[in-house]
Amino acid sequence: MFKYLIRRVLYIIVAFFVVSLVTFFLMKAAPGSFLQLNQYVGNIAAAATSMGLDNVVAQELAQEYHLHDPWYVQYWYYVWHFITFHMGYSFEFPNTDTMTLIRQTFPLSLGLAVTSIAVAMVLSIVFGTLAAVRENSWIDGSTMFVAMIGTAVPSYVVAVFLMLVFGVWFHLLPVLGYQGPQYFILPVLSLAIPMMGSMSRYMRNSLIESLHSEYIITVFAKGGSLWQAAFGHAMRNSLLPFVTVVGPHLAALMMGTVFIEQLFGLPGLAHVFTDAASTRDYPLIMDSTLLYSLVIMVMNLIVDLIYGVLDPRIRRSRYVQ
Amino acid sequence: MAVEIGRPDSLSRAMWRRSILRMRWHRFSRNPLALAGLAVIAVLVLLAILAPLIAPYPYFKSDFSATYQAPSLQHWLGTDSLGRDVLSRVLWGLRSACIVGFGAEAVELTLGVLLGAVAGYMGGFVDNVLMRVVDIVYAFPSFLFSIILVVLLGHNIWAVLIAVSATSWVGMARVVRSQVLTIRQSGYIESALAMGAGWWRAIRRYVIPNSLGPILVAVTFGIPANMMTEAGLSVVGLGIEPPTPDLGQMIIEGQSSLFSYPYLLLAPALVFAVALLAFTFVGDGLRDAFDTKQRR
Repeated sequence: MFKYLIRRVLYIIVAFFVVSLVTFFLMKAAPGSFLQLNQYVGNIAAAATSMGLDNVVAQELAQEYHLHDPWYVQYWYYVWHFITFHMGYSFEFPNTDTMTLIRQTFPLSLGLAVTSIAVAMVLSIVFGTLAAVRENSWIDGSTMFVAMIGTAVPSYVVAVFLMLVFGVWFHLLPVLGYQGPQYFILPVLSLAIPMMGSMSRYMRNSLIESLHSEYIITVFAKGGSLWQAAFGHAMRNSLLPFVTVVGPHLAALMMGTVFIEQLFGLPGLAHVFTDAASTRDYPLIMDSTLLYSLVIMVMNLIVDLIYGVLDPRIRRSRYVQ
Repeated sequence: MAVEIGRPDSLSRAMWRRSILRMRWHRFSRNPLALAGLAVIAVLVLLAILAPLIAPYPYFKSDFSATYQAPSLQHWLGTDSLGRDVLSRVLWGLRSACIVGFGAEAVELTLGVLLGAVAGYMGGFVDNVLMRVVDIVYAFPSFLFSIILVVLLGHNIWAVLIAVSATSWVGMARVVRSQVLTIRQSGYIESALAMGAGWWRAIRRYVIPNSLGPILVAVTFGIPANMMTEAGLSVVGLGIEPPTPDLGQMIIEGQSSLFSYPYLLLAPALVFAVALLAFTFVGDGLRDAFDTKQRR
């Protein structure tokens, strides 16, 4: 187990460096990138000298972005500053450094993601169980139909339909901005419904499988009721595989917040990132890309560790590897 | 039947056909949702191909004396903020979605089959290296990567196509690799070769029919996923540049006038949702027909 953990962490470190290298070179190749500022700085300096001024600004810029250094030194500064939380200043918000910006906005994105996954899990356990216990009834049919739509349609389409129904037709909930908890309801639902699709389907199928197994027949033989069988015995064996379907959603969920924050005008990190991308705010793009990939990789690791804790078989098979 | 008994060759051929593809098709065609999905996809693709011919107006033709019109006989789905015909724009938007959806899937299929097959077939060191690469690309935040690529390459449809397929081929490579490994282990290729079949015959008769299912399922789920990424890029304002119509962009435009003109949002959102649902129905049907356990 410990060996496995070490290997995974090493693996994350390697992947992190690959991601940072790729981002660095993409950004270097980008049109108008600050890493090409050399020439602009050169122009400024030339202009300054021709006017008989000191080229202090040009020198300061060159120093700040390490423009006179070779690429590997620039790259090293980029990664080092990220690791030590001394990130640079964004172009758009020159007075706040990237770290402050991330610290201000990331909690909202994370809160959005965590709330929606919790809501999705609770709702799909409820609906999946209902559908399984009343197999082939109208509850089952309608739940599974809604689940199918949920798996097919992305969060931003769900979001606009929710806005239309709850915001425009019934005037129940606010659709834009963030001024209180009720502004969170529609965004959370928009993220939760697409996840609920596969999650509730999985819950139903694995619960049905458990309900048809022999130890459940024993429960019935001893006079137990259907609900007793479902909640007391079958549920425990269905919840484990259920956790495994939640995992793959996490990465997609972080991406989902990009759309949802944009649509609902929530001031989260995903919103900052898309703004940075459209204004070509390179320092901010680079740092938030690294942060996101790190978050996704660590989340995947945590999910895998949780599987291991829940299911001894997985632990053993890993140990054999 | 009586006729065929005397002709073992045609019998075996008939049985082969029945036992693999016919049987799958038979099982698939008994699923009404899957058939309906297939029909919807056919209609939508046809509409997308014919968009330049059947669109009632040019997608860029604006009419400032007729902005925000409700659906009417002249404009079946109304007009938008610049007085452009929404129906024409939806048809052209469908075209963008199809180009990126199918085009990116073709790129993914080529890359995935090539790399997956090489990895699975060669095994050992090559397999190890290729699969580590796949793992690392898998760890990438793929949508962020697409955003960065679009920022770099420009906001045209080909840049979007590259940005969409740049990370999604890894899933296909994994599917193909696992198929190649399964087939290699199963032994019937060895039997076929031992009985004198050539490589090409072995591939055509045994490898392709047996690995088709999971790959077909992956393709059917891959196309709508590409469409989602494509429209998603437009949703965050980084997709195909206006005035080229795009469903995601139309959804955003509709959302900005949500309270005053909700039908501007409804038309593109519904068409998009129906297209995605159709692919899901077909994908589920194929998965049942081929009996594969994969999900995407």
